[in-house]
Amino acid sequence: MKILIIEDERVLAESIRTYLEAEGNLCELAADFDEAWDKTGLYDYDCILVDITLPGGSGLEIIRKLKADHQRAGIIIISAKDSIDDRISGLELGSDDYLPKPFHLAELNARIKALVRRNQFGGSQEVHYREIRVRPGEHEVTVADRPVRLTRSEYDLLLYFLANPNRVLTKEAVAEHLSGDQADLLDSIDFVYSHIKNLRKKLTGAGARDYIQSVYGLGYKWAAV
Amino acid sequence: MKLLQRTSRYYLAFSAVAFLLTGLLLFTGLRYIIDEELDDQVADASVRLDAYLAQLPAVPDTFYQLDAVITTAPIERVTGSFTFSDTVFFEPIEGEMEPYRRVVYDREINGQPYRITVSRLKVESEDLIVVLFGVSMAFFGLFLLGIYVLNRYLSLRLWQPFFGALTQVQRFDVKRKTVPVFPPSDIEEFERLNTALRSMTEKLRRDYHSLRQFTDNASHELQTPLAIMRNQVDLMLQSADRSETDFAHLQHLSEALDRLKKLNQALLLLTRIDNDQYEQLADIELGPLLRDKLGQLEVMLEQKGLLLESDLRGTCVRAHPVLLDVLLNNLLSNAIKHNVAGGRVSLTLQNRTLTVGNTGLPLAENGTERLFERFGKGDADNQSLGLGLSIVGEICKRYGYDIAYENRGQWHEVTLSFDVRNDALATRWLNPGNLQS
Repeated sequence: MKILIIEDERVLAESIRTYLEAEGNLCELAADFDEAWDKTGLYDYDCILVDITLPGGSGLEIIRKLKADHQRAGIIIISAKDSIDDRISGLELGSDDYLPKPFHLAELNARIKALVRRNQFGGSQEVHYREIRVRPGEHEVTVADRPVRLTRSEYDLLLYFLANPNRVLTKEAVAEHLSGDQADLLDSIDFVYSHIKNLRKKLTGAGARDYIQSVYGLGYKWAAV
Repeated sequence: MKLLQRTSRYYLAFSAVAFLLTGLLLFTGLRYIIDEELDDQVADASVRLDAYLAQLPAVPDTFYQLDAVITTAPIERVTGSFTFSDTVFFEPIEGEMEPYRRVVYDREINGQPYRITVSRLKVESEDLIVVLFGVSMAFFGLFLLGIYVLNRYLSLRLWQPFFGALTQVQRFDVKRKTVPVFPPSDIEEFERLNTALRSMTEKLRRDYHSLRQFTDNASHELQTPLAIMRNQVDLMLQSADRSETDFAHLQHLSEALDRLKKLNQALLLLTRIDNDQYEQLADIELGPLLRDKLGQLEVMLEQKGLLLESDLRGTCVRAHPVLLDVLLNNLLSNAIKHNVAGGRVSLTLQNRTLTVGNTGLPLAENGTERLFERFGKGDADNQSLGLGLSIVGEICKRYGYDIAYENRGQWHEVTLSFDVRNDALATRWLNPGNLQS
């Protein structure tokens, strides 16, 4: 996948690039409004990450142009300006998602994958990991072709793991993902363990291998041992 | 006590004293003058009395002359001149003692010295004094009444600017955009008051605004460094060659970052509520929303082994969806977070009142007072931020919901009533323009 990162904070942009390129993506950076304007005009991307406050202009302006050009790229706003107005006007302009800073790189990665799935495959693309298959369009999970019934949280958790295989995911990152967009003040870290336990039980119960590894007290990692 | 009452009281006390003194003065003065007059009359008449007595064959002991009683007594020799005094005699007709004015003097009549006593009835002059006294007192009373009425009228009229300013100050809310108006007054003191109030409210508004701006900016600016730190931790975690101690350090770092992020998020939310960024209202049915939330929290309930009792009847409230969401999340997660293993959570929604009850450790003393304050924790060393209930309080204040907390030993209960009347008030509150009328 080709991804454009429009972000004026160099260190942040680099860390995003490092994480995403480890997945085999190709990333380009744009550090200010003009650079972003030029790159979006010249090249095609699968996904564009846009910071709203940029030197030289507003990221919203770029989104407006992209939509006017009927670019097929999925757009995710990554912004420190987490005000309702920005979120609403960003989504109204046609951005596909909104991720307020600070965010976990794993979360960003999962969102990019979900977005590209929706955008380019109409959500019909299967996600699979060995014997486990997920059809995001139908919310269907099978283990070796046998269906497994998961709750919404367990399903979200599974997709999150499958989007970030072989990565260490902190409990905080998992909790934030599960408590959703609202990311409220719920002290949700405590119940991550319960969700993981339930998911693991259901998958292994259906005959899958146990891929969820605990990483010290820190978090979890989805990997085949 | 009202100022008018207080000043009237002083006026009245002063008037009463002045009144009494004047009365006393008037009374004694009149009396003195009248006595003097009587005495003069008697002294003048004494010459004629002497001539009359000298004509008589013998000087009588006692005799009556109109309203005077005259007695004579022979003495050795003439000593003093006129002496005056008051006395009383029994009046057989009226059957009571009556006041008399007595004049005593010595005089030689036909070569024999006599002591002559003339006593004149004083009733008439006494009546005169009483009438005069009464009239002046009545006049004085009327005067007082007049002053009182005038005072009342004046204070209503003259103090008008003061009461106007008072109302403005009472209505003043530092968070609201409307500026209080203190109309100019041509009374110097009130104008001074207005000027002082004007500059004070303006300063308050400015200070509050800059403080709010600061919090807003600070929490916004914090987001980027937080994002950088978090992403760096994320990247460090992905390296394969980390030792267990590295992971332990990273874990602490990650947890601290998470707390910092939540704190910042809460502060942002509070400033956003203050900044009126949640203005659009929607009618929201609480029952389904609560059931949905409980579904999400099921795992947490299960993990703590909590028993949930819920009785949810239809209740619709008008609020911003995000704020209502935050409100319910905070209440519900508090009920779970501060619960004890194997405890109970009860949820009742009826008559536009939501009651969230839960078992938990008893609160420390005075804990309830600071419950809805920012960073007010019931328990100083727990991990919570102490912002959750302050956000709840802020949202309730915004929408005019009535919130009450009650703690009976192991049972904690938060009661929220979504009152209709307050709802309307809150809507008005959100549109400050309406308040100008």
